[in-house]
Amino acid sequence: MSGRDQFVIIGASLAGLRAAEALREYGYDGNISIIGAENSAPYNRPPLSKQLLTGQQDFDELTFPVAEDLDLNWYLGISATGLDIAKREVKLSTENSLRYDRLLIATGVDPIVPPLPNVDLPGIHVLRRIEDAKQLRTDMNAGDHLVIVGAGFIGCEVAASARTLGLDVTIIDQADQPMARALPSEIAQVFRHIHEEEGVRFRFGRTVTGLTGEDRVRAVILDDGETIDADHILIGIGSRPTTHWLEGSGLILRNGVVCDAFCRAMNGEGRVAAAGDVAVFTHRGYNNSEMRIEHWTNAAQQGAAAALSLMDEHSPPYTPLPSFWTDQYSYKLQSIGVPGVATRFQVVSGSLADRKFLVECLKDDELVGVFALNMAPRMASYRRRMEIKMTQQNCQRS
Amino acid sequence: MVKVKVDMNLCEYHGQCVFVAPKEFQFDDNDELVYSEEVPEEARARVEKAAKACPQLAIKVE
Ligand SMILES: Cc1cc2nc3c(=O)[nH]c(=O)nc-3n(C[C@H](O)[C@H](O)[C@H](O)COP(=O)(O)OP(=O)(O)OC[C@H]3O[C@@H](n4cnc5c(N)ncnc54)[C@H](O)[C@@H]3O)c2cc1C
Ligand code: SF4
Repeated sequence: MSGRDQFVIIGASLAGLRAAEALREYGYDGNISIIGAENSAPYNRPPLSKQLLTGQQDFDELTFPVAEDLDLNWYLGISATGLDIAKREVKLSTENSLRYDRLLIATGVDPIVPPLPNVDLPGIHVLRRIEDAKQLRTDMNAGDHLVIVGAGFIGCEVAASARTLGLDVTIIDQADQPMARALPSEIAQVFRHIHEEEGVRFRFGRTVTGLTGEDRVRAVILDDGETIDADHILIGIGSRPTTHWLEGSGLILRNGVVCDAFCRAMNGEGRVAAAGDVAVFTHRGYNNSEMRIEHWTNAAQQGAAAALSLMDEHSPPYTPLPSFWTDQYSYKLQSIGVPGVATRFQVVSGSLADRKFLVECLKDDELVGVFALNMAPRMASYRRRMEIKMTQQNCQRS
Repeated sequence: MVKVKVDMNLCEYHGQCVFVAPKEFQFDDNDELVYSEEVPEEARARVEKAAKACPQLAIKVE
């Protein structure tokens, strides 16, 4: 190969693609290689639990448009298996290695599977990749009883899609409300009631202790002894950053690839960065707290930011306004900021009872976050306001 | 001129486009998304950025 500069991206999904686009837009004219473990071209994940399951969207509609002039070297269906920082080489599952001048790690997360006997029986699913969604969708057409383990976003979204299709749905969670890690109790309760009205049964405060079945799963057993019949099970208890291939590389791995405020990986010699669900970074806008954000908008923005900070040492620190959304039935909940640190919430428009509201999250009278339920139009101006504030704070503090 | 099209069957009112390109995309008083179907060449970069920010891949720019 010629002496052209080599930019290598591991992970051919949202963060990786947005990185490649940002590099070309910046004027980078070296080689860009993008390595992706999945066989498919980059696609959009959020519909996998929503429009795709209900049939409103089909698989081929999920592919991200890729401009031809990006001129990328694609390695699809191939995984990175190791990293040698001294040699500046990535080892691939094909036994070949790729040399890099700059490397972006964007390998996302993998679903956590609990170590229960029988957990690999047919009929038991996780949902992360398009292949998972295909299997789940086919399976859901073949039987009525769906049991979901984990009342997080994915569990709740799949429950909504499955109820829309008329399946019988039970959700089990050890917490006492849905989406307990992300939502304040008042808002979680709104969703609990929505699901219950739609016919979902919850088993809160319970854990699964067993799975039964021979050729395929038949039932789950809970810690209080209850047995719930199941034609299929979705496990949605969380995910783990995909960093196993980086063990021993010298990079710091602590619930993700640990980076500085510019998304550059610690111990990466300034040539390695990480972005998206896999990346832990220091947020200058929030007192240098360490963050890892598992949401769409962050992956898109951080992919671009991380790639550019490898190109230009004067890049600004990465200080995103965290945000996410979830769609369940006809409800869209959006969140911006860090509502988790709030000490108090105030409804500024609509009401919880009407299931249409705007809630400000305050910490000592400072606005730290906003939730909107079915009030998307009002979110854009809040978002702008909070972004501006973030930029100002960031300038003061760095 | 640059042509912009939003597939309203896909649009989920995320408002990312409104945030990225407020001149070209807005919510009206009835909370409907309104947008410029034709924008001048100098706005191309901005509407393309809006298309990339749309989580539904609903915005097409030609
Ligand atoms: C079902 C579902 C619904 C979601 N809904 C929402 C939502 O409503 N709102 C929201 O904000 N977010 C949502 N998300 C989260 C959002 O999709 C993610 O934040 C986003 O996809 C992260 O992008 P990423 O590029 O960092 O990682 P990923 O999209 O996970 O991509 C990582 C890629 O790297 C590949 N890879 C892993 N290891 C290797 C290796 N060693 N070598 C090569 N390739 C490798 C993987 O196969 C994968 O393709 C949802 C996610 C899922 C799964
Ligand atoms: S970003 Fe996409 S989904 Fe959201 S309002 Fe704009 S077009 Fe609709």
